[in-house]
Amino acid sequence: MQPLLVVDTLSKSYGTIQACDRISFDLYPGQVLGIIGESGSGKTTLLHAIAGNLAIDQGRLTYSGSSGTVLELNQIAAGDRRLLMRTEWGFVHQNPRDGLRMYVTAGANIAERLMNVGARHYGNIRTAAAHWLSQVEIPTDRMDDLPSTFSGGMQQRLQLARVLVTQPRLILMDEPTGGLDVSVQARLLDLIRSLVRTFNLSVILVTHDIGVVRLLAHRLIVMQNGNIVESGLTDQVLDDPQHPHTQQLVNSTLMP
Amino acid sequence: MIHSIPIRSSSLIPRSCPNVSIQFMTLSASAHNSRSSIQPIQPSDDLLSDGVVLNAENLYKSFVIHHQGGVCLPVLQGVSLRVKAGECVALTGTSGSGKSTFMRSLYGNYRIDRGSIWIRHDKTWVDLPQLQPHELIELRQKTIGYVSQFLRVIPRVSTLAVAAEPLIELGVAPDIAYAKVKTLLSQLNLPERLWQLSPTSFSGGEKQRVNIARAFSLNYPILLLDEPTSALDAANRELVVQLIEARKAEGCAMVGIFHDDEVRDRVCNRNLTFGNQNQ
Repeated sequence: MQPLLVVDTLSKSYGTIQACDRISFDLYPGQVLGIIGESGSGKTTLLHAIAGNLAIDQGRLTYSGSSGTVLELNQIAAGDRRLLMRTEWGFVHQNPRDGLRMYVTAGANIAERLMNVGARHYGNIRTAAAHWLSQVEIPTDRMDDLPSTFSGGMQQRLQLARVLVTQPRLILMDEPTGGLDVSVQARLLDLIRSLVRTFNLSVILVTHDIGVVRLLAHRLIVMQNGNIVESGLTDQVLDDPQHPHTQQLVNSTLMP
Repeated sequence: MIHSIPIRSSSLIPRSCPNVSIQFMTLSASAHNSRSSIQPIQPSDDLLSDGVVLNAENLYKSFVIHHQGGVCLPVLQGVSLRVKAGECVALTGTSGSGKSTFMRSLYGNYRIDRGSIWIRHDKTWVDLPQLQPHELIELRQKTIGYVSQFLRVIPRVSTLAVAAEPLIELGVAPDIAYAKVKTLLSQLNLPERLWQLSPTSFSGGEKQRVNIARAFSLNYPILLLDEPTSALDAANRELVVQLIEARKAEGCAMVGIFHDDEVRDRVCNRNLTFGNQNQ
């Protein structure tokens, strides 16, 4: 099996602060990789660097595209990278306002991504929007409502639908369950899990919630001060934490 | 593979107790090579013709607890076990003697300090501690099942979906997977009215039977059983014992911890007894 994405010695600093220090890992198709660490550990910087939202200082990102081509992401044109983000990749933000257009309808939010890749037929676009709304358990009769009238959990699911409509292979998620009620969280977790399986999605999931990675992630990376201090299968890292920082994170969780 | 960068954090973390490592460096130098230097020798085909499917050699595992003064607990010090198809081995010994640590190491849940765990997987031998994460995931999907004492699930997922998950992950069609686990859940006497509910609110015995259905829904060649009958009443315990016996007869190799002597004597061929080395 070929890795979908290889991150090789990626570094990013802000002035004297080394946010990501030579980070390396690979991600295989169908895998959910959790990245945990405290605020300031560099996990969000890493996610945005992978997404191409930040310029990196050093390192390589190698992605095996759907057509079988291997892309060196920091060498391809910026336009191609943006196209990738709009088609084969997706980003789910912690705050739905960063991932949605709040002043156009739910249906139009989904349609926008399709139209970006050339879809023009109104009927087809509307059918696709309805399909993906139902996939994320939003009633299709809410299609013409503004996202601002949705609950937090629904907004997060709409973000997912907006990303899924182009049938991506890799989704980057930044604290997707942050700020949601526990019961709403459970629903979103269950949904993400079944979507991952149904569409063989790979996910990089940044969170500080150990309960979330326990239930969602196959593998785990623990970051501290811009470094990976421990990694392994999720159950290995959480049941047999070896690094002092991981032990501290796991032991300070109420229900790990 | 373009680039494989296994992240080994061993350089950053003291993974074993320093005083113990000195002791076993001399021990292991002749008997066994550390996995960082030389590839351990793959089991010969003689083992296979003897029916061996699991061959654990010289496992060492210690725990360093960093936030409590760096206390170091050497738990496994050179434990070995060979298991044949159709055989059930009981891990025995007092609490704290390392039974659970050993069993969790066989599943790759605990990462051993040294030693090898050869598993017969997909017509070849693999050394579990050397596998890449995606390879270990596949090994667990196809070859080694684990009946845990705990059941961790997303709260709103139904019992049927929880039990059918291993089959569905393997790519079995949902209707076939559900039919299979329904048969098992009925066999295990779990009331049908509970099937659509999430097991989070179940009693210990009910959760345990969901776990057993999960692990027995597939014909894993190797099954690890962590006190599979601990929360069950006599009638339900008997059902589980019958399931274990049937699976054994079909050639499944099993390693288990059983605190119930009667169950252990019925299903196990032999014991591997752990002594408390710290006393």
